[in-house]
Amino acid sequence: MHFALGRKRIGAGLVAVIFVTGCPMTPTIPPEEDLILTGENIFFNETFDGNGRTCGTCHRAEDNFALSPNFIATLPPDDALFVSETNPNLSDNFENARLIRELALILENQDGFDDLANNFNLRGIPHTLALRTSIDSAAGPQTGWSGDGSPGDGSLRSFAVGAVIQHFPLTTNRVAGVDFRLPTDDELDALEAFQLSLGRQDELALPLALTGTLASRGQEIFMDRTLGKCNACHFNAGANGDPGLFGPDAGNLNFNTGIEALPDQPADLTGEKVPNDDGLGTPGTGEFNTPPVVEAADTGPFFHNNSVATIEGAVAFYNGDAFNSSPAGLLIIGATGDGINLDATQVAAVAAFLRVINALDNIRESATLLDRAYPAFTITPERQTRLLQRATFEIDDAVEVLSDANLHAVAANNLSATLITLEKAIQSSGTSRRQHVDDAGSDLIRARERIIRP
Amino acid sequence: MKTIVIRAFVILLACVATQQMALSQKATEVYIPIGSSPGVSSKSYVGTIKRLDYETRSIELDGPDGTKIIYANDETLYYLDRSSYGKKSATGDMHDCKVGLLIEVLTDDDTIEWVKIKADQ
Repeated sequence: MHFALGRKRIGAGLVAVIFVTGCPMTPTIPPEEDLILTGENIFFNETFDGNGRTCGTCHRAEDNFALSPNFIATLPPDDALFVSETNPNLSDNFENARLIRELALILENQDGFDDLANNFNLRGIPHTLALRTSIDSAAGPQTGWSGDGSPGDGSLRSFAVGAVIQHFPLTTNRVAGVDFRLPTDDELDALEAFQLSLGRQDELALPLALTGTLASRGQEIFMDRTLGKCNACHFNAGANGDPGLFGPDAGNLNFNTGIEALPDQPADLTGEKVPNDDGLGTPGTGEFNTPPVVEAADTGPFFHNNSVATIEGAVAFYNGDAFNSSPAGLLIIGATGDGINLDATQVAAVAAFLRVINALDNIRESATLLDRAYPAFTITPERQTRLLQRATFEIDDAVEVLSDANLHAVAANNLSATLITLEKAIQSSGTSRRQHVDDAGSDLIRARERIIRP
Repeated sequence: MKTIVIRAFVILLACVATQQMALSQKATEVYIPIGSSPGVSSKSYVGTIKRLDYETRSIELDGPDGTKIIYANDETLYYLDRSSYGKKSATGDMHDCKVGLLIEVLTDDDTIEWVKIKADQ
């Protein structure tokens, strides 16, 4: 059996490196792919002898490896996310059940476990996409919302150890070997490989040749150092500082942008106890880590405390007093003479740009997943189905982020049709499945070409 | 004018970005037993406390690589590892260090970042 798919049949223009024509089928899975598969299995199924949670309990594949209130509302009462409601040993000081359900906020003890009733933070769940591009910095690896999410050496590989201790224990005594077991070195290697495989593997190169008028203007504002000023900290819409400003090796940075100073934060309005989050370190500096914004539009709510629900609101945050009075905002004012002051139309334009690059990334990722469903080695039908399902999640998100702002209606319709085709693929098998997947790949190329010029 | 503004922007933004060493999530470190902290084996030592000086905050320990003297400072954190007894571990201070106890120290050059002490009960 040979791969004989032409370039256009499944999306090689999007993920050319995956494409192999006339390549003989090899039954042996490559070691790097095997490690990723092992990591995926651990990520979604391994409870580490704890309370039933897995990494996938909070980082849902169906929800962009993050978690939103809308998705939480679809979960059954016995889902492990709600373990504080079902395990009496975790009923106090482990989670705030109301804030999980209403705002997708998870309890963390970044500043220590000595006073569980008072010393905690409530944070959203960051996605685990594009980690290959967003962790490295001149100061070492930056993980989690405040850049200090890992114990040990602070690396992504070590992150799972801290997560198991914080989120997986049977009791708040958190005794290793009793309330959980620690991941082994092999498990940490596999988890790291899987997480690094998720999402975008490379930075964009702005400006993109976008076809949409509004998104194109949004891109200009995003990159303009005297107007949007966004590209300084989100270089190429990623998570790293502009090398021209911060030096060639600056990488991923932390800033105090004043999120904690926002008035009327949803969590505060509930009346629940929500301590101030001081960010990086103990005691904290007030700084939080810069996330990539390519992945933003479909991974709200936004910021470390889920304080803003929409991407338009997230852009508008930088117009407000909270940002312009923050340490980061004041320095921008000192440097450029004024803060960030975008009008409503400009906010909408930048948000449209973020929506469009998010949709493009969803198309890229779904094409990648279709390719991975037909690799040059044998995979199980179940594995293939999972990859196709993940492709549907991506396409569904692309439709949503475009449609919600009336962007690229024809492309969105194309993508909706692609979803139907892919659902047929999932329901079928053999050559029928293959044909549907090929058709879906072609549809993705057409949709992409409506949004960006080759 | 625009060029001047951009140049100033470049300089001052370079000042605001945090480039300090990531501090890591020390909070969960307290619950990681001696010898199990991920990725630090090249920077940590495990051994038995041979001699202590609380005034100079020096700890001399005997380990597989011989004797080593390390100096704590104000930033050094102390963790009491009770996991082998099935008990909750906790934070502590230098006075929890006692001659004869097993400890793990994470050092950066000669400064101790943290000390894990295998509690005697």
